[in-house]
Amino acid sequence: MEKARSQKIKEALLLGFVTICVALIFTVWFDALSNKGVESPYFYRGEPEISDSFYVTRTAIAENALLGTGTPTPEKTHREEEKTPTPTSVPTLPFTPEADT
Amino acid sequence: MRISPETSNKKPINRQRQILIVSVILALIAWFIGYFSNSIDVIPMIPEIVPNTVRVEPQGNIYVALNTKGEAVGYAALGTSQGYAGPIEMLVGIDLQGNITGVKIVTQRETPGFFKLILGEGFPEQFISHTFKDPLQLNNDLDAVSGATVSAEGIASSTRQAVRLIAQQGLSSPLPPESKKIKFGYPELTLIGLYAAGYFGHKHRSSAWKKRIRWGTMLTGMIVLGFIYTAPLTISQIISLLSGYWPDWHNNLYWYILIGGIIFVTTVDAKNPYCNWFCPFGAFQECLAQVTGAKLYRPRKWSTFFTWLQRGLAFAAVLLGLVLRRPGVAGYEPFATLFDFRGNMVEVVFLVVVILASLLMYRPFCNYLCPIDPVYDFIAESRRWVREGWLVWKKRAAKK
Repeated sequence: MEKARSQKIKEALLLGFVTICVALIFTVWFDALSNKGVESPYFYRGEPEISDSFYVTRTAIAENALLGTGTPTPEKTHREEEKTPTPTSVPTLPFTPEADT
Repeated sequence: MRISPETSNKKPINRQRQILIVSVILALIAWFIGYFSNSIDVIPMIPEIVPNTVRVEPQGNIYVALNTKGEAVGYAALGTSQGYAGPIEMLVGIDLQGNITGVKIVTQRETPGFFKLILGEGFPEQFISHTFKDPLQLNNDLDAVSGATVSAEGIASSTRQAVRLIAQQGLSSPLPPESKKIKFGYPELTLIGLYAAGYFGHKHRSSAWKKRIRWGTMLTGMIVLGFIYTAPLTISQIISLLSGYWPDWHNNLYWYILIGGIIFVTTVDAKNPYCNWFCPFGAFQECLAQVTGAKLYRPRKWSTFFTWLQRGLAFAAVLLGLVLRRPGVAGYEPFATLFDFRGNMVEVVFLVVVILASLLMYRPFCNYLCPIDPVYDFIAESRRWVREGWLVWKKRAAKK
């Protein structure tokens, strides 16, 4: 009697396990099939758009490099960068009394 | 009417063979449906990958992208290579200077988990910063995706193929032929070793030694093929085989050794060299059973029902994979969830249920759900049938 009862419980557990697994397998299939978001993605490098209000400026160094003329500007060394800048006098416009009148 | 024992034994065999014929016919129908219903027009996709395209003109094997003035602004081509579960088609756009302007994954048959990993790691975006002269090789100028190397290699290889077409037919700068190196390493060596150990273990007279060898191959299979390389046999690979999606052997010797070896041994020797000897997931379940001392449980009155349920699930997976031409979608084994710690909520729940059941009974997934077991049944039954036919033919020939 006891054996038959435990046998029935075992069978019920086994059937429960298989039923749950089959339901989960169908869910796995359903999930995989409805997963359309990752179907055909694309990756694109767009060209940068430059508006008319944007003006390209050239530095004197770049200009020299482009023309291939002039003395090449010496590159700054690490030592030079560490140097304290020497104060220099700023030239001012000479005072002319005529200009005031 | 009395039925002789011979007649009563033949009846289920005949029924099995009738089902075998019906299943082959259904699989063929599914194959043809899948084959003829999966073509994609790529021309509308070209403006997505070549900037300023308003019109597209085919030119040989490539497409020329034209702007509003009718001037060429770039080229596009389609490349195809094998991924994990089938071909991956990549549409590649290149401008007139030879820069890759865009790539599009047109078709892929990968397992959704693998594919999401590829996209999550931003693998396809890597091509955008390259020119047509770059090698576009994994671990060279492209970062590989750990856990999805085969899929990443499939994408890279199909992109290279498209780039080569454009270089030759569009940019008039043909690239030198690609050298194909044969990839042979630890996974392939381990697999050959496991087959050899299984063969000798099977033939060994001493049952104690047989048991030792078996545990050795099982643990090696679980650790090496499972946790280290995540490369067990799956129904997706069988569907790929049936669909004709055979990967390039140079890069995928493992695939050929695994599937070819199993088919060869089962056909010639009528033995299953995989499930009981080195299936990683089977070994994992068996380890759990060792912990609790769980035994095989299969009530006799339900046995036939469970056998056909398992076969039905496997057959449904095969039909699904063949009709959709997406072997990766059809697989339902929780292998990647366990060995690669990857999967969605449903897959994790499935794995947990199987693990709990493995503590109570011996190999529940193998005995009730695994789609690989019915594949063996199919091969074994076909083999028996052919052998019987051969013997009858031989007998008749001898009489003549």
